[in-house]
Amino acid sequence: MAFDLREIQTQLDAAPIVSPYSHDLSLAIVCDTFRLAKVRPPSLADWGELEQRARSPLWREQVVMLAHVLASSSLRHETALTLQRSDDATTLLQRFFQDVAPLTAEMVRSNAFRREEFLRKWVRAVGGQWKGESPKGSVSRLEQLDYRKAEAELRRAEEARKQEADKRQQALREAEQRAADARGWRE
Amino acid sequence: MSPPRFTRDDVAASWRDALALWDVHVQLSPPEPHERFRPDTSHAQEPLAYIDLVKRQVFVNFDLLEAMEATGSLTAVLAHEIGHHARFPHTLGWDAELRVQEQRLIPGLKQSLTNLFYDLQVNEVVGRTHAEALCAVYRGFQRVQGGVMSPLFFFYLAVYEELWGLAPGALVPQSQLAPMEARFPGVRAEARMFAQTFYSLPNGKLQFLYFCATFIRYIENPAEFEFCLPLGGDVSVPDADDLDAAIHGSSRWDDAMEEAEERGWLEPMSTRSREQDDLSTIYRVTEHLPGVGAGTLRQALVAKHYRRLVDRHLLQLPTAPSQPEPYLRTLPQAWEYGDDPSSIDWTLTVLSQGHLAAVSPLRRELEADLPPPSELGVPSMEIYLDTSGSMPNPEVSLNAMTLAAQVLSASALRKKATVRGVVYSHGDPLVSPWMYDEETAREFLLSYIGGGTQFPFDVMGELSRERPDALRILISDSDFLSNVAREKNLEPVLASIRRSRLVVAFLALPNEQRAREALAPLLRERRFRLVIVRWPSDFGKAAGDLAQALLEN
Repeated sequence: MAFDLREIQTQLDAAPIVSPYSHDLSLAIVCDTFRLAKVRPPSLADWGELEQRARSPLWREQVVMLAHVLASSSLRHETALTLQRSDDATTLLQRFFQDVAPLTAEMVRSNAFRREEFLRKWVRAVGGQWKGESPKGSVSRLEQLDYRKAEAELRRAEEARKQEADKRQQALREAEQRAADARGWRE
Repeated sequence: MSPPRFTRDDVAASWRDALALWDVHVQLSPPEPHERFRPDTSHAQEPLAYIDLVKRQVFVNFDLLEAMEATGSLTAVLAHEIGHHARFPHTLGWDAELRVQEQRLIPGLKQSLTNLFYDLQVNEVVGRTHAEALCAVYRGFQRVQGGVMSPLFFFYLAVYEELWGLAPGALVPQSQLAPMEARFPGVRAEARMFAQTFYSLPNGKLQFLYFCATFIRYIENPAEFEFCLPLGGDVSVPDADDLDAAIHGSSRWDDAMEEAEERGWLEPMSTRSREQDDLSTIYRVTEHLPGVGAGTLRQALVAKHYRRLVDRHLLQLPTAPSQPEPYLRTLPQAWEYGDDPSSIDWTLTVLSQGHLAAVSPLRRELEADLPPPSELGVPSMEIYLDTSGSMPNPEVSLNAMTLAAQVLSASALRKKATVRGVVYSHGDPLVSPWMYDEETAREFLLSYIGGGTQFPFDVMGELSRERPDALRILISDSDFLSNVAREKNLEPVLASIRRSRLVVAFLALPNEQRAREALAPLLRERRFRLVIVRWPSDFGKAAGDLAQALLEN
């Protein structure tokens, strides 16, 4: 079975923007997904360990968002079909949360690119494939969407921008001065 | 005539598909073929397609589309143009707002970026179904245009590559990838982040601020910056009313500006000019438009600005009620059968007819006391306005004397008087004919000469002979005192005062005593008055009060 991105996105577009689930309920939804695949879900202690390992204030909202996308679309069903009995839920979740670490729930809610990245990273974590896409195409698309990577690369641009900024500010000040001179008298 | 490559049916089918792409119902005339603006130039210099947002008519350059080898892109091109009509910008009022803010962020920018901004918005929607067709247009344009691609165009196309998931070099030339990365480190990452952020921003204002903050990096010299893009110059320019509304309402952008600062896109306000007076904004917005100098657009915008200031100082006169209450009795007339019996005035009938009162009663009606058709007694007003170099050009900065003249003239014209303006400085003054409407008077009184001050006493003498009973108001400052002191023979001046209904010297002076001494010979005249304001900034309000005192009785 392959995940249908367009279908999942259409279903999510029709769902409420904000996740209606509390943290505890979200944990239950994720656990249920594993149970559907007959995979042992993480225990409460495992969840505690996952949170500790993540060491991120965003972790809880990421869990809530994961539960929301699972429950509001066919993602849960497809995930259950894709998961192997031999999969270890805790390791899989740990890998996923590491992957999506910089994404906030707000980003996933309001930015179509970030939502796609979130979905694609989940499907990569569970070892699924996308409908109508070659594995290579999926990898390159995910690379293009990778927020962490884009941010790191952008830092280079920001540094260069900062160096250029002084020059630009100077040019803008000069332009303003020229305009003021051309206007002549000032009160 | 369309070339045979595009048959009428092809165009009609593409037009239908393009209209269906936008989820709103629009009624536009079918596209017309573009007629070359300059028949002698090559068609590469001509636009590919554009929409006239006033007439809402789309034009397509079929020849150029064919030369670009992008004939299959007709639907995408038409959908792009319809997008400008349907959503981005949809109205020229929005376009005007963006142009005003753009000049605030990138002062002196020669060519507006607004069209580029709309294209990014439109192409995202069109590209959802016609990305390849749009790519064909951009590739074809590069083939036809030739030459080296500008950094701005490179970045713009890189954004599309990221948006549509294309490999680097699919739209931009492969050969320029490395040089651009060396010249603008992180350009690719920036294009990626831009594409992934721009379209998720919640409103157009934030989108535009983010767009300007990002694209400014690729504009080397804003004052000389010009670009030519396919589907680039395809939106009309807003008119004076649109720009006026945008300048007047630019505070609506303050919230978006603050948010942009918080997000780190813009420098904090302290490093930019926070106080933007409207006249500076008018100057910036019109600086690079055609017609600057004798610029009618700038003049129209300045006139609208002064009109707003004038209205602030003038009281709204109460108008006569449209249906006044009838209370005046008419002359008695014989009452006849069929007339209203309640109209019989029995007291009058008995007094005048005696015992025959009941035989022929008299009736009287009530009627309203209608005001006279026009208010009489408002004289002609002649305004002498000093525009020497000590005061600024009213087009570039607020000139309090000009404002005072505007207030007086508007006040008089609203009372059905006629107004003549005499704008002087040194040399020959500008003398208007008698004016009957506010618009003409406003435009004339925005004239400016600059230089030294020489009051035209000879002109006043001449005009006072021509129209003896006029009210003459002289607006100046301390220069007027020295002008009077320099006059060797004051007799002609006194004669022209005597011929006038009233001459009012309306001066900005810190010291009244000095003025009374210098103008003593004039003040002895019964028809001369002196009104002094301490600061030029008081001129506007004082002019309103003066107009009320002179014209309201």
